[in-house]
Amino acid sequence: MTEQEYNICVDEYADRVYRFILKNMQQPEDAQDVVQSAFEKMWKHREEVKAETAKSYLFTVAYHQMIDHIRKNKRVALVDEFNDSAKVTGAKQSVLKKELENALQQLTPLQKSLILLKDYEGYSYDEIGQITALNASQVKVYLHRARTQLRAYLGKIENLI
Amino acid sequence: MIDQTNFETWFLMYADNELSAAEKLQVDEFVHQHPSFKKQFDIINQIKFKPTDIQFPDKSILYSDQMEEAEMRFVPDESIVFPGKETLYRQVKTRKISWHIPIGIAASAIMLLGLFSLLNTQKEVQQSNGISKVVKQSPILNSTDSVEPIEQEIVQAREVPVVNKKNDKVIVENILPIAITEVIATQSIDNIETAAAETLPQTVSSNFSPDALKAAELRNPVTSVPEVNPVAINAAMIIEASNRKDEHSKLRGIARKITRQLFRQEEQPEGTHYIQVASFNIPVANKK
Repeated sequence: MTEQEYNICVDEYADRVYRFILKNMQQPEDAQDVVQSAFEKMWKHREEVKAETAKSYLFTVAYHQMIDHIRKNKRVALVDEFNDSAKVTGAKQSVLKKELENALQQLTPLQKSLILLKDYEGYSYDEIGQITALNASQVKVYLHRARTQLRAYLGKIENLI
Repeated sequence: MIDQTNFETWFLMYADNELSAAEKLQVDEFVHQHPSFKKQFDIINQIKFKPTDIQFPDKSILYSDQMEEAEMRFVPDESIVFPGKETLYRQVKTRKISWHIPIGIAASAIMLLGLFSLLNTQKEVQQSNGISKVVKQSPILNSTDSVEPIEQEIVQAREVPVVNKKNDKVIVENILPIAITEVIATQSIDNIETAAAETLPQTVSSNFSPDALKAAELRNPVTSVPEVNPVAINAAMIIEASNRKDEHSKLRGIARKITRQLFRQEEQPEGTHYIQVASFNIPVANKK
């Protein structure tokens, strides 16, 4: 990877990686640190990293650094505020959207990562497996389990509304 | 093929966009044919997260120029050196055991022991031959010839080993100096008398010629016992006097004692000879 290709990666993937990490960590400062560390690592290893695989490389590095960070700091706040907030919000769609965001935080870091990599970046099961060090079957099972969990939660909210 | 048992997996894969266009069409037809499943299908497809407009706050820190600066920032300044490096050196103290000195001492001791043992053996053989000659040449003295009773007892005490050991060599070595012997003989005279009465005839107490006795007295004058009659000077005194010159070296005396203890030869009642090494008796051929 050349210096120019590296800078293109910054333009193309910095926001995406940051979004993915921020949705998982909920701490902007920590998410910025993780993204910056991922780009620093890619810069150090730019001789080995190819431009075609740079996106996957960045997501992989950022994901593992995030997991390490979460394990060290245990800053995942499993908030359980949605029941009260759902009762006081206005429109149904906005309530569902917000509750969907809240429900996402109920998931484990792995489940969140699987959902976001699939929905945000559109990665296949294989690609997600490469990033998260799982095989495609595991990704499929864990991902479906996470969606079922979210669906059950949303069904409960819809009944409340 | 989608049916009522596996529709949920198909719905989830539909939401994950893992189905082909034909498979998606099958799902759409299934939902159309089974309206009761439409609600579940809609909920699953609602559970999708779309990218927001979240952006990284400051991308400038990620570009290559900043990364290069960051790399430059961590280059160590090798011109800075610690001034007192000599004070930081340490050395682990190791105790070296040198075996040269103990081995040298042991080897020297073994060599000295062997040398003294050899010399001692040769010397004793020579002495024993000389004593035998003297004994043979000297006339037998009567025990009653001008010898005081106490002196006779002393002589008997000195000569007890003569009979017990039946070896001239042993006689010489077991005789004590006169000055000491007198005291010891006075103290343990009863024991000595008893032992001597059993084994020693009275006529053997002094059996050297007057010339030999006089010569021995000249070489080794006995000043501590002025009253002793020249006739009472016996073979033990002469041999002792002749051995005085050999006692210059204390080391030699020690070596001889060690040799005697290690290689003590005794005669058993059956006439069998043994060499006693430490606590072991090693049988040897009879001396003829």
